[in-house]
Amino acid sequence: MDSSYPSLCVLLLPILLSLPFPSLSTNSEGNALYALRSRLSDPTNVLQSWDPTLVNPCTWFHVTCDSNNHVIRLDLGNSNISGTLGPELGQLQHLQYLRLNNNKLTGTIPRELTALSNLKVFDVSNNDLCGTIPVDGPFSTFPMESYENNRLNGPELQGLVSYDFGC
Amino acid sequence: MMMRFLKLFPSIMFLLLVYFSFALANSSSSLRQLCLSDENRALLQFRQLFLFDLNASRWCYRKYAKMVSWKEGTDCCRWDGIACDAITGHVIGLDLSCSLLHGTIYSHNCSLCHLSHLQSLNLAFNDFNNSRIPPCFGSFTSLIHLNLSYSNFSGEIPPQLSHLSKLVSLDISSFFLTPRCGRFFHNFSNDYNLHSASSLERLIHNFTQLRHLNLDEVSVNSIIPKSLMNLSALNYLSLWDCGLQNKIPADIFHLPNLQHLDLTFNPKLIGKLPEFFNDSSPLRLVSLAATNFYGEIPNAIAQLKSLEYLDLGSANFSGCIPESLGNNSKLSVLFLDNNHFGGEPPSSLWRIETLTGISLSLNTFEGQIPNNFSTHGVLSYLELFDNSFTGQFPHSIDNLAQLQYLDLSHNKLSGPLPSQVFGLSNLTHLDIGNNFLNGTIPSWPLTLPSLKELWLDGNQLTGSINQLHTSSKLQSISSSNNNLRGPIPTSIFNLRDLIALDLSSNNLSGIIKLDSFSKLRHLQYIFLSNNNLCGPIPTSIFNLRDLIELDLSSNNLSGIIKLDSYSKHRQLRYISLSNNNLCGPIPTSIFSLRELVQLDLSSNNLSGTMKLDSFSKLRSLNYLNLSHNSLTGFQLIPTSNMWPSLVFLDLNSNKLQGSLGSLPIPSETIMYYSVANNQLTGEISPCFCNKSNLEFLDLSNNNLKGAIPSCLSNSSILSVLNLQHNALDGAIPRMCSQANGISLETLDLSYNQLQGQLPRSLAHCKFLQLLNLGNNMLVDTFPTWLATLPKLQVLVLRHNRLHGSIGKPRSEVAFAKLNIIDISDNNFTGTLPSDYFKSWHSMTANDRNRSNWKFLTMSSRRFYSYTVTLIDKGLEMELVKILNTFKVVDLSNNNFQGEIPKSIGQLKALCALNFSNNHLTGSIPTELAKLKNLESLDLARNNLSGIIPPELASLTFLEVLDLSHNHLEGSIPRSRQFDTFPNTSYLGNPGLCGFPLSKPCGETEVTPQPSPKLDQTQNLESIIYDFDWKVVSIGYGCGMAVGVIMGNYIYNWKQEAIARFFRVRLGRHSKRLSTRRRGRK
Repeated sequence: MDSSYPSLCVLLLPILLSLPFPSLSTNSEGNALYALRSRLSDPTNVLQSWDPTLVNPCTWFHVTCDSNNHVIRLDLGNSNISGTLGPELGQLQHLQYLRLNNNKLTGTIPRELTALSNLKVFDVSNNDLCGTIPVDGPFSTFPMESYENNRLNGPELQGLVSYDFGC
Repeated sequence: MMMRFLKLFPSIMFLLLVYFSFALANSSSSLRQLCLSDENRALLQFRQLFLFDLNASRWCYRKYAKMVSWKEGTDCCRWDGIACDAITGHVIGLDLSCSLLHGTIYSHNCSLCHLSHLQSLNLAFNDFNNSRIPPCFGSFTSLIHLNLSYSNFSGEIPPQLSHLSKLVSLDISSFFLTPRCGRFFHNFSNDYNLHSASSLERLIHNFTQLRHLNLDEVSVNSIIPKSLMNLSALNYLSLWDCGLQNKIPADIFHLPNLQHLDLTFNPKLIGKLPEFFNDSSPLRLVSLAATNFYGEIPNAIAQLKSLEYLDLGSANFSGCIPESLGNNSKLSVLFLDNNHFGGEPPSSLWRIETLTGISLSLNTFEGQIPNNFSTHGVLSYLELFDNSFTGQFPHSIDNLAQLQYLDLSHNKLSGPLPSQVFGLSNLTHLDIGNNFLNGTIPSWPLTLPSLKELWLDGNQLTGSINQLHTSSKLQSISSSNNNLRGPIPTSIFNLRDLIALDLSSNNLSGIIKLDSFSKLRHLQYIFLSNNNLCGPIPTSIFNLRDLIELDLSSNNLSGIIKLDSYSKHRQLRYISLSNNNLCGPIPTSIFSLRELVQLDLSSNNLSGTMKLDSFSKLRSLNYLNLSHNSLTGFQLIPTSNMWPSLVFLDLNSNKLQGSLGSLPIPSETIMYYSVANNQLTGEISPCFCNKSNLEFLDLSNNNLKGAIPSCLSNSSILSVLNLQHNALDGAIPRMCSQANGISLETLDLSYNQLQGQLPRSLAHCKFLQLLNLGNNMLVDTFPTWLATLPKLQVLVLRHNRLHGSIGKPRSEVAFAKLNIIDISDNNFTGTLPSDYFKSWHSMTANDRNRSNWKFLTMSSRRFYSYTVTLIDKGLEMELVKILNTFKVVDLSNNNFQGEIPKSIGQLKALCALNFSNNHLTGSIPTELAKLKNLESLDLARNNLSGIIPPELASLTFLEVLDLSHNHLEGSIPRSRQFDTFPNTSYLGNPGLCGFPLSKPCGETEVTPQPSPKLDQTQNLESIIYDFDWKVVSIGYGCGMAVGVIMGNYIYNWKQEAIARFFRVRLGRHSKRLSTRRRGRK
């Protein structure tokens, strides 16, 4: 019995790692948001309530959940935050509204966001983002106002230009 | 320790010297009876006073009972320790140092008083049991040497001693070899007093011949008398821990023959080093450690050409170290630690070839640690911790062949460690923790032949740990708080001398092999928490006989805890296995660990009932945390006082069944008791009332019935009482009704079936922060009488039978600290309490910056956060932690009438506002737009009319809006934020039109336009270019699958988009160019 443990552990590890993140953690959305927080500089403490020890992020400021405790809104417009967006935002699979306008965000729009099939509103206008604008998934529907006043090039022409072009 | 040895050294030398002089005197005596009979008798009489006790001379290296040779009828001049004058036969020398003497000397009737010709008297290192020094010693006018050190004399030093004008050396010190702690040491030290400067002055003023003065540990408690400066022959002065005060005479450094000056540990002694020294100064040792000396080290320090030992540690010195200190220096020991020194240490310092020990720790030194240590060095002790040294680990340190102790921790060293060092073969202690070192751990720290302690903690070290030499002498390894990966190397388990292993907070993974720990017989401390270790806990861990502390928490360990033997782990005191995936029952044998103090098995999958038997009486158990498991109950022999020292018991979030009374009965010492979130039944026993230390009682979320024992109001220090979500009935106890029982901070009785009124005694709970009586059957009016509670932050009275109008506050300050008020779902009537809105100061502060945020916690135990359940953003949510910047007003589901007062605009800090389901009339006040932090606004199901104020479009944090079922009309304001609300936000208002409703606004209707500055991009959507995109694959260039077709996709373009399109194309070409150029290189 005991001797089977090492081999089991070794065998299971790649399988566990290959599973999508949500099945590993009950609070994957909270972890994703906390990973975002750790990227951002937040001089006016709008993210102060983002406490990673909580079961879910639904009580955090500027985060809205549905009745199943999935994050559906993130409202961080006009929040004086700076820093970059990261791939972890792609884990907010139920996200419908993502408002990050009028901040000092830099870097590119993470390609992982194109997997958010429920995303209805995406607003990063008035930031300092660069690179090209994605076209896949929900990004086929967002108006250009969502991107204005950045250093974005776009839209991305698949295969032609790397998305971080111009950064 | 080293310093203390050096300090003791002169005393030992002195003892040897005296010993040899006696030996000479003895050999010169002839065979005839030389000893005078009265002196012989006196000595024999003196001998009667003592027993021989090894302990009395335990500080001596060489000790024996000299008095054994003192036999009646023999010549006393031939006895051990006696020296006689060869001509007169008088005893002139008595050396009883280290003679195991234990007994009391009667000071006024001392037989030694007959030895009036004594020239040398040495009684050091014995135990005279707090005897007084016989005053007759002062009549030994020929006395040259007097040594009474470390011999447990006490009381005043007799003033007669001052008559000894021929004294050359006087030592009455009682030097401590280990820290003074308690009676033990007090009993074995001399405890002399010299109650003022004048008594010290009177003692020494005749001693013009004095060369050696040691008054260590003598309570002088005054200034150093000026007359000390007259002792021009003085060469050795030691005043360690004498309680010296005030300013020291500066010329003490100029005593012409002084070689040894030790003023250590006189914290009230103030002084500065002089600006100049005599070139001929013979000073060899200067110790001013733990005094209040201040100022800089003068350049003139270089004039002390003989200086070998300089200890300025733990004083108030500042400034830089002068370059001159290292020039032509003979320094052997230099301690400058724990001062306010700064700057870069001079390079001359590192060239002192005689230096054996140096400490610059606990200062603000900066710059690089030099990397040119010479091979000639004799440095064995190098301590630089807690400074701001930068640069890399100086690899030339391996030139220091003698180095034994190296501490560079708590600096800003960076970069990788050198991959190899040659030498350091004598190093026993290496601490480079808490720097910014990165890279992997090279093999050398783990293979140094003499190394016993290794500290690499708190760096950014990565990679896996190399295999170690099995010949290693390592006793202690700490590499916690790094980024180490991979398994714990198996070779660690071959370190037979290992006592402590700390690899916590890394990314270590893999299985700990079953028999790993079987060879580590001496292991006492294992810290492997916060890693990714998996597999079962090897049983060999529990077979370590010397184990004291085991922390494997926060890993992925699984399987059952196997702990089968009873007697082996006599020492085990702290066990933490929390936050793993351990399963199965808790082994009964864990409760047979007699020394167990702390047991934390929380947050696992442990199940079953806990079988406790007579072995389970754990006298020392203080902390027991089994929370967040699947335990179903206790099976125990009902003995009270099973765990007599238990302070903390946390069983919350298990599946405990049966009655509350089936759990172990808490002892008197209990302070924290939580069995929340279980399935316990029965009533709350009054036995909780008489636990005088109980601060925290949480029985929430069970199935408890019956009344709350009214005697709980007697508990004097109860801070938290949480009984929510049970089936309790009856009245609320009269908490805070007794003058000495008002420490309550949280009272949460929500979700029960409590009846009656709110007890008026609550008005005395002046520390109350949270009061939650929601979801009961209370019948009362609004408790205006709680308005004066100075700390009340959360008030929840939701879903009761409260009634009447709320009225006006009795004073301007009412509920001033309130952050959350929820009185929804009652029968309140009248208008909204507009006057209260002005008095809720905590909600009116417009602190957008929210810089003073904190969680609402138990004031005495900050780890415990208060919780509350609220309806926010349309959902019922449990706030597991309550942030003081989270401000909520919920007055919904009542019978409030009239308009929404404009004073609502005062509550600028509000996050959520709910007035829904009342009978409110009139229009929505534009003042609501002042609530810039508002995330949730619910005004649904009222009779509100008029338009939706367009100013609301400026609430950019608004996430949930419900205005449904009113009589609102006109067009819905547009903004990027408003456009995200669904049509359900507006349902049941037939007069409303525009997005997102399907009803368009007629042309005749005036569209309210929000001011453009609210959202600059408001109307940009009107500029529409219909460019349509489709992406397909076609062959292109060197086979890239790329294609662009304009098609039917709906895109809203601005003109700029075209320009962007071309930039993209341009970009593509330039990229191709650059790749090609790269290719040519």
